[in-house]
Amino acid sequence: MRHWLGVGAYLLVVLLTSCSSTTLIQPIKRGQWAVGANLGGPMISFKDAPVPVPLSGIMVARGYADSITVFSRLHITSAVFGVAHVEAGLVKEWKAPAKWRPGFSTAPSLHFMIDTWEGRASLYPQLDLNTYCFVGSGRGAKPPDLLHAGMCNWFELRGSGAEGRTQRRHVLPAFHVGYTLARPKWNYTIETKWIAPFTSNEKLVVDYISPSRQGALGLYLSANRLF
Amino acid sequence: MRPSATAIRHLLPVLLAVVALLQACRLDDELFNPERIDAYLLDAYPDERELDDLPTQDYAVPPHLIHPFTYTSYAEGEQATIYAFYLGNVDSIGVDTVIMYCHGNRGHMDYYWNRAKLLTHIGGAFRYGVLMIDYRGFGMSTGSPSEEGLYADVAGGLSWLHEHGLTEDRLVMYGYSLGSAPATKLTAEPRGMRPKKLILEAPFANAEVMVQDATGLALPGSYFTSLEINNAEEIRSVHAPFCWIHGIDDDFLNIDTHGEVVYANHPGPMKEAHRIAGAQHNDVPKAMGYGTYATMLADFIRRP
Repeated sequence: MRHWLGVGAYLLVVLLTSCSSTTLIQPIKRGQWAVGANLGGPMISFKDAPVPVPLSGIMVARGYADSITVFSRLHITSAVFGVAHVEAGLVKEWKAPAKWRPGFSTAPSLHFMIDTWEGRASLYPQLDLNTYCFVGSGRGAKPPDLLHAGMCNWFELRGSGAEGRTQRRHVLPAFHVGYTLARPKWNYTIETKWIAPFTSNEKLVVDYISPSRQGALGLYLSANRLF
Repeated sequence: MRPSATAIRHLLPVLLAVVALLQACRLDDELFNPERIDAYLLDAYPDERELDDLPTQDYAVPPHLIHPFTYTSYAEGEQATIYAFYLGNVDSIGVDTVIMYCHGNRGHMDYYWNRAKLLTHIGGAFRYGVLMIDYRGFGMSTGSPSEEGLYADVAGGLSWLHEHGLTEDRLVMYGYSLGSAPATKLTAEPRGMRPKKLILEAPFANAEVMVQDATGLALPGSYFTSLEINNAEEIRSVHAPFCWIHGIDDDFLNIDTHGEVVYANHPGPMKEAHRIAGAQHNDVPKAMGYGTYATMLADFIRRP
């Protein structure tokens, strides 16, 4: 039984983007633009029902080269709670997928947050490692769908936390699997993540849903429009 | 092809406006979990309540020792009518020791009724008087819950006790969970009587600890709440003897990150810790055994 259900739910809402969807798996073409939105978050038990926390954001990306795309994202749910949170980074494709060979990309980014109440700022580096393969071959202008998996890592730079306690955890990993339905001008992604799979989810104000007593499962949807 | 410049020009102000309008959401109100009711049912309350297996006969309180009353409390310009129960003989408050019980954030006094009854049996039946109130917005108390409201409403209850003859040398403050905030605050910074002793059960340290426990990151508490409740700091100013009780298996307010910090920060020297094996957040007396719990509290209260 949770006495402070509301607290837990809202903490999750603003668990910020250690739990948001993967921004881009594969670069877009050089000179191309993409604008997108994402919705979804970690699963929690709210009034005994499993619900994904509605984290949301809007993203804009630009193909800098055929193998490099730069992007930026504004996190809307954080803003709702008075925390300006922007993310900027790039996705670099190291190996393009071929017929039976998966592709590989990395996506380093930086998260900057500052609250409008006390002006306290935070900076979190993130590094995504993605592998992906095409599903089908596409037809005409329609590109093939994409099946992807990978690992996302958030890095905590602070050495200490509340009440001067030592911050022992400096890497917060998450594993993800997703599927992107590709259309000529749009793509739609559904993705699931296991966030912080090596961290206990017990004795917290939050009821995380997870396959074990570690971390939380997340469910995400996103849509991108290509220009 | 670039996105339409016109579209971007139109979209950007709309987004900024939405963000500006919505950014007032805060965690603050979610700290409270009140339930409004039309009447207090006490023993007849049919729904789930704390310590629901408390033996009815062993801990009964006769009607003539149940004294309901109301008083007016002011906080941040809001006037509220606070509902309260004094369990004991009102006429002997001038000589009795009284426990001011500050309940948790759940519902209302009916939910905590069994706890109040249990406290009346510490050190023998009706050895100590017990005052319990519903903070503003809880139960039948009017107004909206707020941090300052917690302090003002509990201070109002203490004023009522003082008016009926209580002196501070016979006042014991007891705070459970959310109630640890007013209990600690009013012991550290009295607004009238200074409590002689302080008991905290499953206290929380502060919002920042809660946030960092839940996220795994060292995020500032100000990202989520404007509440300034900080038992971990307030307790440093408490010089009254201190009894801390916490379930080792507390699945809500972690004993290590919350309770241990509060206990460690009390300057002492008169303090005692009770880490209860097998107890979670809301079943410490049950896990200890009601008799053991009562004896432990009686020993603390009686100790010079």
